[in-house]
Amino acid sequence: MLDFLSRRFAAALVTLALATVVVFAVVEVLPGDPALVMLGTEARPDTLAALRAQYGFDQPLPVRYLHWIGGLLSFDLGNSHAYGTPVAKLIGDRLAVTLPLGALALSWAVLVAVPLGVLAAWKHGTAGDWGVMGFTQIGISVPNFWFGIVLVLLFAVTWQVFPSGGFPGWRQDPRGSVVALVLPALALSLSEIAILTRVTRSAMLDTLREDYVRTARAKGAPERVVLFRHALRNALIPVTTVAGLIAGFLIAGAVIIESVFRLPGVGQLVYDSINNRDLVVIKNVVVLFTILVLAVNLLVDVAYVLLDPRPRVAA
Amino acid sequence: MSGFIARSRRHVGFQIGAVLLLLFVGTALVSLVWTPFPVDELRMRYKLLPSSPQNLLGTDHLGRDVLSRIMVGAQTSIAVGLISVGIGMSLGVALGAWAAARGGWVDEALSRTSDLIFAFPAVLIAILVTSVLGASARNAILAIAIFNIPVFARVTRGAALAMWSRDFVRAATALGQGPFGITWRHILPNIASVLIVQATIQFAVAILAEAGLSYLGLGAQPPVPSWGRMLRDAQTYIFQAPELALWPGLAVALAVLGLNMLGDGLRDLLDPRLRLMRVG
Amino acid sequence: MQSIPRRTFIGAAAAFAVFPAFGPEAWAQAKNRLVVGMSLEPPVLDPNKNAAAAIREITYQNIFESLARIDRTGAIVSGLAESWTISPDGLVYTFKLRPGVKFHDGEALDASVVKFAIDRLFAADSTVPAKSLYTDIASVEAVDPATVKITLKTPNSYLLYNIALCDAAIQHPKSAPTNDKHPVGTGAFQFKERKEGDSITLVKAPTFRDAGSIKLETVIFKVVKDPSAQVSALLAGDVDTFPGFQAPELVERLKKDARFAVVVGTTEGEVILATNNGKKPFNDLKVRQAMAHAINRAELIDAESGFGTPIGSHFAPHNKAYVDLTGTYPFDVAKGKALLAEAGYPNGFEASLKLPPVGYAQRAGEVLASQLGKIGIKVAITQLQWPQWLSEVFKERNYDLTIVAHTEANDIDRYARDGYYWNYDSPEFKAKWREVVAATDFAKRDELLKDCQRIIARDAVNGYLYQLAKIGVWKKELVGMWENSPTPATDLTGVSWK
Repeated sequence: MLDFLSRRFAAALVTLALATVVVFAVVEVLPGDPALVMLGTEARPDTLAALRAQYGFDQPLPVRYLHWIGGLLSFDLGNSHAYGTPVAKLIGDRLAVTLPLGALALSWAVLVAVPLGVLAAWKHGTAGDWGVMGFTQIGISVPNFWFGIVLVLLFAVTWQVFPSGGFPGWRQDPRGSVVALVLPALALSLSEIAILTRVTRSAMLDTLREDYVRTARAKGAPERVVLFRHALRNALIPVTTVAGLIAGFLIAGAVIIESVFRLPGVGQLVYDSINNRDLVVIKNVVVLFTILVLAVNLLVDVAYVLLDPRPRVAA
Repeated sequence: MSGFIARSRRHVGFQIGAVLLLLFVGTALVSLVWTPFPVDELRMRYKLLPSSPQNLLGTDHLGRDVLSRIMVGAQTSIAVGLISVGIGMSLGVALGAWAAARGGWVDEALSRTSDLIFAFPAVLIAILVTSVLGASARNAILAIAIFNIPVFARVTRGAALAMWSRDFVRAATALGQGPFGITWRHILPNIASVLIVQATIQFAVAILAEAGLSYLGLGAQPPVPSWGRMLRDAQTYIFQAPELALWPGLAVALAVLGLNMLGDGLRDLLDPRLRLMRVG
Repeated sequence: MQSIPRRTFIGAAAAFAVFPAFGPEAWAQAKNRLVVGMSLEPPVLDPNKNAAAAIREITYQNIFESLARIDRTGAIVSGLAESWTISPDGLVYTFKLRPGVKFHDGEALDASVVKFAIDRLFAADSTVPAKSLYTDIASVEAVDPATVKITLKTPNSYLLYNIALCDAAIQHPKSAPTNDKHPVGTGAFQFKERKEGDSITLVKAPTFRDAGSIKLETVIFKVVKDPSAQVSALLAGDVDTFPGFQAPELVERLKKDARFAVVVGTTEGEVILATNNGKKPFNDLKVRQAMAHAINRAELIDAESGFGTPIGSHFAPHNKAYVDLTGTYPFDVAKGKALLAEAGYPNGFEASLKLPPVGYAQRAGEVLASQLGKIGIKVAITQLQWPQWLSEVFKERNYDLTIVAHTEANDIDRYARDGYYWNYDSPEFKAKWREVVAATDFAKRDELLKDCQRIIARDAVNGYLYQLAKIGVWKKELVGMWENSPTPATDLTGVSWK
């Protein structure tokens, strides 16, 4: 088991190392000259050259790559060219928006999806089941950013009970900040609700067929106890796994939703940094996201091993 | 085949999906020869009109007929879906089948590369790719196709490996048939259903992705009508003409819904035990 | 809208019930506090490190001051220098500094500081974005603590204007290295804090020489990029003013609200269909004239919801040296077609239009593509990110057509430059421009400027579309905001609540 996990870990490290090379290469070939972006249309060739030298843009690629990796390894992400401030601070500030957004969306998804899934499995084959499954079909088909726009239309434009976008900031207006995250989290959670509902339903259907559930039923246990104590508890294992997987993608996938609702989150940071050619920021954020995805995948592997004691062959 | 048709008559989801898909493709085909108004005709005097008998879905900020643009937008979505899935499928299936047949380092390299691609947050990479290559429908297709390749490769590899352990394949090997011939004659025909179903779902994912990229301004370029692009423009006018933000989104949702239902229906009808991937 | 699940609605309503009194007015209630909305976020906050206009819009006069000052009318008035004299040959400028000026960190202003600040603008290793404006300076001399003498290599009738710009802000040697993150100047407001991606907060500076005249205690510049979000922010009371509102199509919505004043003023931004004069077929005057005839300015301004003034040359209509040349090549599709046929393109040709990511260019782009289509020029639009536009279009000149606003004042001089991105090369214009720069008599300079406008209008160098309007939106109780935008600035020294 440990052998399997350490192999998975080593593979993740190799993937990460390759990922840094790919990210570095992609960022390097981005068209546009960061020095020209900073100095604008009136820049002279001599000032541009001086600035490039100042930022080290004129050094050979391998040197710059190693410099960056060295920084990463010593947890020094460098300074943003656009803002002049440390990249770590920039990312930290933005995570204060993106993480709560993802957490809100995920908890909302779990709160809605698990009961729906249980309901569908319990009423398997009935109109209720059909209704839930139809809803999940719609949920994975509606683009979440459009759902966000529709929410804005309803709650911000028509009824004016929620802001149409923007983020007041946790310190200035904690309550307003929570309010600002409600609609985006709703929009973000739609497809996750659909996926989690399906997973819960099929996991419940599986466990309801298990012997111990049948035994419990045969012994005359109340339906509530059968459903929640026996079946759901076991069905939660795959549900938790999928919820974990979703969490990783929620954060990375928030880019478009952040754009719809103008939230100053990590996704917007990358998007703006690409538009400003703030190369340091792009590189580091993409790599951080990659680490996040790899870590989630690894955790899922660990969870499988811990929950499923059967010996495994390489994935 | 007759069994398939009989069973499909009883599968409501499949039928709804098929109807929606027909509507989607039909709209695109009709728009090739006819739209209510010329699709790019600017009529500034008639901008931001609400729905009316002349302009069933109203007009946009440049006075263009929204219905006409949504109709032609279906062409864009289909083109993006077909090409990106086509690229992803042909390369992915080839790679996956090769990995399954050859094993060893090929298999290892393929799974490492897929891991690498799946490790990147797809949206961010698509944004980066379109930034590098320039914003255009072609480059959006490319960005989407990149993520389709490992999806098909994995599904193909998994299904093909299962086939390789079947008796009739072993028999074919014993008879001295080469791995290429076996893959071509025995493996691929037997895993075709899983690939068809996966392709349907990837088509849906591609349409969603194109809409998202165009919404960010990184997909199809104006004046080419694209549903995502229309949503981007509409959001600016959300106070004056809220309906503008409804129709293109509805079009995306219905097209994707149709494909998803069709895909799920196909899976039920062909083989309910298929193992698929849902990404994106 | 029926597709919204009922459950979602109930859930959201419940969430709302938990926060019954989420008060939008909470942000901007105090009468000495102002929240200014901005469309673009400044990168660093030092005009000597980055060319972004947003830096100037925040810092000019508020944080940083220059020797002279551009006022709300565009006139050059005294700044950190109380007065100045210009030698008869136009080569020596002597500035008398205002007494008692202190930087926000307590350092005093004297001639040595001014020398430091001006010297670094044109120094050999300077990385100042506007360096080219100051390379005519030969030397800066601190005559005594209150007197600075600037000597030029050649006379430059724009020197005073350039010295008044935010680019020539007087910075102290001690704080200059960190002004990008924590700007320290001599202005009425000092930097308090910044939240990247969100806001920049300034507070009244106790060190300011005339602190009594400043009514605002706290100023927050809040970045709201999206136009519809700007409207929401105003309506919700999160923001008191957008001095430069970027979404003309949404103005009607704001006019309906009695709380706001919508004030339309002038900017220095000429929106042009920039044309690569060095590339076939645009190197042919007839082709450019044909395009000029194809342009329907009324329709373009309509796409701007009626904001903007038609221009026929590269010059701001509110400038007193302006001459109306919109009739040079009037809108006439038939004439355009005929000229194109004369030039050898009876069936038109294909051209690319590379758009920068700015609202007006996006709006005008599709309209222009359609207009040029009517004389047979098939235009393919490509949207570029700003860095790509700068490299590909502006620097490498790899383009056919682009749409951009030239927002600097007096920027008709670009037509005299070698290797500028239009690839326009006219000895006639260059000679005329040399006369303009050397002119010491301003009345004569205006006449020369009119000639300049005529030359480029006649040559149809670019498509001249319209002058951008400055749409200012603010609460009606707010007084003292600038109506016009003679230079990128949000000068709040004279702003107060009624």
